[in-house]
Amino acid sequence: MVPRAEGWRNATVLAGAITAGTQVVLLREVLSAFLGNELIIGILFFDWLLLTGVGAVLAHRWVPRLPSSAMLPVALGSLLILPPLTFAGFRMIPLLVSPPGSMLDIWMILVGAGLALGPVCLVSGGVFSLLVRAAASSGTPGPVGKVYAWEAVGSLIGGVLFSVLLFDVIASHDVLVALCAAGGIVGAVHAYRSGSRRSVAVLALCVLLLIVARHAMDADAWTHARRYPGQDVLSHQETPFGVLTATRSGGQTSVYTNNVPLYVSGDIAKAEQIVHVAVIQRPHAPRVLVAGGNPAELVPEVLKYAGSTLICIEENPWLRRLEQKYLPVPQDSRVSFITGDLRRFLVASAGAFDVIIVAAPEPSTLQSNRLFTREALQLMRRSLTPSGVLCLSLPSSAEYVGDDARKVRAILKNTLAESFAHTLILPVGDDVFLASDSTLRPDVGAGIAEEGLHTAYVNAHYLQDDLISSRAQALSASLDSGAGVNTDARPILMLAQIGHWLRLFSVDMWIPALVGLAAVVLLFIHSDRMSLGVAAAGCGGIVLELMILMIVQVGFGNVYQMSGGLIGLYMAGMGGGAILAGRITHASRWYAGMQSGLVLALLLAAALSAGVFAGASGAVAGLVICLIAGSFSAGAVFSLTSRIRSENPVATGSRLYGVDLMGSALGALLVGPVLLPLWGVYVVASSTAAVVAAGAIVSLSSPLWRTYEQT
Amino acid sequence: MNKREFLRCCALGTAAACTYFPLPSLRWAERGGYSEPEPVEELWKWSKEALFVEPAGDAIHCLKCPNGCVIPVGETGRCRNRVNVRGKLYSNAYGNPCAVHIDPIEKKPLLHFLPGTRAFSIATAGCNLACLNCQNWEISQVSPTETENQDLMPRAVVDACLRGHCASIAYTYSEPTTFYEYAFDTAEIAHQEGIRNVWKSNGYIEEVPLRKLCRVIDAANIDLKSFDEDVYARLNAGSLAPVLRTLRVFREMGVWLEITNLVIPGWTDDLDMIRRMCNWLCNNGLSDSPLHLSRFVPLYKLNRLAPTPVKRLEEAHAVAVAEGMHYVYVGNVPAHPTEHTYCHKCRKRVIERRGYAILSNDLENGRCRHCGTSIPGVWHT
Repeated sequence: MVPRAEGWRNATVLAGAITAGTQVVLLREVLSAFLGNELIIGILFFDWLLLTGVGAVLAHRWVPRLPSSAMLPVALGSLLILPPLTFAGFRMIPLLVSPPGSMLDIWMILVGAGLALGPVCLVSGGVFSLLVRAAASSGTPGPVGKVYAWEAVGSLIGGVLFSVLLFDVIASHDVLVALCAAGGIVGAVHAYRSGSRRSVAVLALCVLLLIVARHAMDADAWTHARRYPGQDVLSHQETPFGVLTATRSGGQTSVYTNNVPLYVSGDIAKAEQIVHVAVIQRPHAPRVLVAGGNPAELVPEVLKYAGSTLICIEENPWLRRLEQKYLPVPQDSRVSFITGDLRRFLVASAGAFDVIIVAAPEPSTLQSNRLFTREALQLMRRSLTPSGVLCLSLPSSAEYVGDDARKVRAILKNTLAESFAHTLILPVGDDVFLASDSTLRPDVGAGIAEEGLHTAYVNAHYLQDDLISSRAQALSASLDSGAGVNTDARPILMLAQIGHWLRLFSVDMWIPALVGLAAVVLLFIHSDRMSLGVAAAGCGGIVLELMILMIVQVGFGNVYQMSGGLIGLYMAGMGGGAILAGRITHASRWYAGMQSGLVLALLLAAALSAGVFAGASGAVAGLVICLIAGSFSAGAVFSLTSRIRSENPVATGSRLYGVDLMGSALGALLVGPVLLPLWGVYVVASSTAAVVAAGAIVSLSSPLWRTYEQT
Repeated sequence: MNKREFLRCCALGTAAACTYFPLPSLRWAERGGYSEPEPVEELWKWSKEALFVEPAGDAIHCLKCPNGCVIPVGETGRCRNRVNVRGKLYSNAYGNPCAVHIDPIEKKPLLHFLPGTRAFSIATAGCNLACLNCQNWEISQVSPTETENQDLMPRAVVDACLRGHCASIAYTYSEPTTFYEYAFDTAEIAHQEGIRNVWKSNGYIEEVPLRKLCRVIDAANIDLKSFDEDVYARLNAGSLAPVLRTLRVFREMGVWLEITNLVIPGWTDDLDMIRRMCNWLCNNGLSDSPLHLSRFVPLYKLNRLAPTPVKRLEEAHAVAVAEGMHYVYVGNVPAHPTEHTYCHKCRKRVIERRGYAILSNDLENGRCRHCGTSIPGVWHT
């Protein structure tokens, strides 16, 4: 904890572990508190990286003036206290400022996330500079690169530890408190051995405060009372697929994911709409596959068709268990349940079904969008009989289809049309999309009557066929056939859906892009040549990481636990690169080689994406190699650059760490939520590779390289 | 870059961002998402001089709805379609509906007005409230300049209605008070052609325009969104008192009136509030007006609430009946037993419904076939 011997190294690992763990926990909280689509996650990462970078830059001037013995323990103590406080802010602020049952406004998300993250990120950035000073004071050669490397090691430990512990063991806020407290205790013990009594006192006080605060309030009870007023909470569980909650009120069981209603018991209209609009197209002894939805309501509807058989597939095993407990389905030999990923299940199900119904959430996240892509639809086509029917749906466009909603529908229709000869959109409750290679009937009400089925909602009494048909024709005619096709590599449907979602707040999709652009201009104007090289590598590194996470998620479904491993590998690569670069001679040649490695990793990862989208495990192995190579290069670039600069270590560390994080922030904001869906994997990878190469060339044009190698 | 330069850049960047994307005011947040409309300086084809205005210095005071906007030159009212152009107030929503459909009259919902007929339904963009749970937010929370509109002047609306064999024209979906001039002129022509006019509204309108409107409107369904001023302010960015006045005026003017109350968990599902509401309706001579207790489903910004439990709706139904309301229906719950009409005296079923369809009708000249009691409503064209 103090600049004696190798104490700075332990402190660095501790700081890295705490900040990485905090990131993991807050990311989970964002998903439930702020409606976490990719745009919101991108904004959170942007806020995080930018504010940490600002903290490092600001520390550049202040750190040398601060007393060395006091500041590091105080800053590290703050780093123990602030994450739980930030978490509490994320949890409480939305519930306190937004009306009951409503979502937060995007502006409040932007401002609120920035304010909540500010203290912990600024301190985190400042701690880096303090650690560099501590390392330099202890006589460590190349202190900037070393601190960078050990911080990456700490991040690896924290990220993996939090990812593993987060779900099955204890609640996320308890994980955070426990690890911060444990970190404080480890730090205090080390400080005691190092003889720094002041550090021991500060850290012990912080740990005590954490424990007292945790026991003083029951966070779950407080949260439930506000999130689910008037409802009995039956179950509340964090899972890799999101937070699952079941409540009961007025005899109705409601299931929520990330605090948004998924379905409720007794919703016959919804169940009938999901089942009958599709199955009535092929009503004779249909073999039906339903992905998602509430089986307790769906199964009886499908079994109304004589000779029908049904497979219900659900990817979230925790949800299946919850359904079995609170919404049980009677045993029936005609019905079977599968827990797993729909796409992977379909690979081995050629020609098996007459009807496939995908009752998935709207495609506003990569996770849900992957069931709406050309590749997914082709898989579904192969799994259908020649006259089989696929059914997808989007939330109702009600009485008017605005530009954004129309674009979403046009993209989905175009994507369906690539795989099927016939498509039909029926605005019945939701906007139901049907696709088949045989003809489809719009007169659902007449079909129900012909089959003699007893239904409450899907029948000619509610769905008057002539009115539905005229609305359907008007809707189809208004859709633009040039709106594009949604693919795994270029998920434009997700982008369009997020754009439609932003309409709720009268916000344009270009705002995050413009904010990012403004930051790029500022960064470019106020950085020297070598800093630009680091910023470009930081940007390239985060783009590589996000791109690989996206590719794996699209190919293999929810990869939360796998993503913990991938992020861990990235951190390990960075740490390894930074450590190794400290021992290298011929710095400029190695620098060029490392930047080239990052460029190649980006391009190769994009090239491998097609294989991963098709579910090839070998391609995943290739991606892992790309990730390690790319992160190794990014770490080495940082470390090499820090050796070349002639400033004092604190100034060098602050500046480079700041620009590295700012470059990463830009990558996180622009590439993840905006450019990746808009341009697709290949163009984004090529463009980012070009940015990295340009940054390297600019950096190598600096005379500092020659000066360094001559000395 | 030193610290001073960095801070200067941050300040400049923040100032630029704030200029380009102004941050919301507290008032905006309190009003449930209402944002200021864009200033307008020019008229367009669908502009019509507005009714019910008075000068207010350089601005114009709009007297159409209780918002009472004082609109400076170049600015737009809260409804987003009344604009002050060079000192004169215009409606920007005249002959340019963005939603045009044919619906069963039961969908409005109107269950005691020409049952089994269809309504030619139109709406322009704009609304004078900002409900967190708006079903049609894509047209209610924007101005007519932001939607894709049809060119359908009043005469063309009536002709289209006749071609569609509809018994009525419904001014609906968004808020017809905001396209008052268009609706009024259309309704006058419709009456000349023997077509009825239906007003589906939040009831947020001033008394003078309302009384004029009653001359051409045959039936209205008014959303009584709650019976609490505080809930009205927080949920709808409006107030209760003007809506209650609207209900009284419609009754006094002899317009057929049905009332919709959306039962939202945690907001408007308090049975005591529903009791007080029904008590007020009965005390104001509205016990014969059908009351539709509708089920909430998550929409727009109120998307973190589960749908209303059916049991809660049934409890509310029981409260309404106990308070003396004669015709109470549970809405948005298909095949619910209350979808039929029962004679309030003999309790026998007089209209059997399934969805929007009439399966049997035991009314004779508007009277219960079983006991002869007059069933309030407009039963024949």
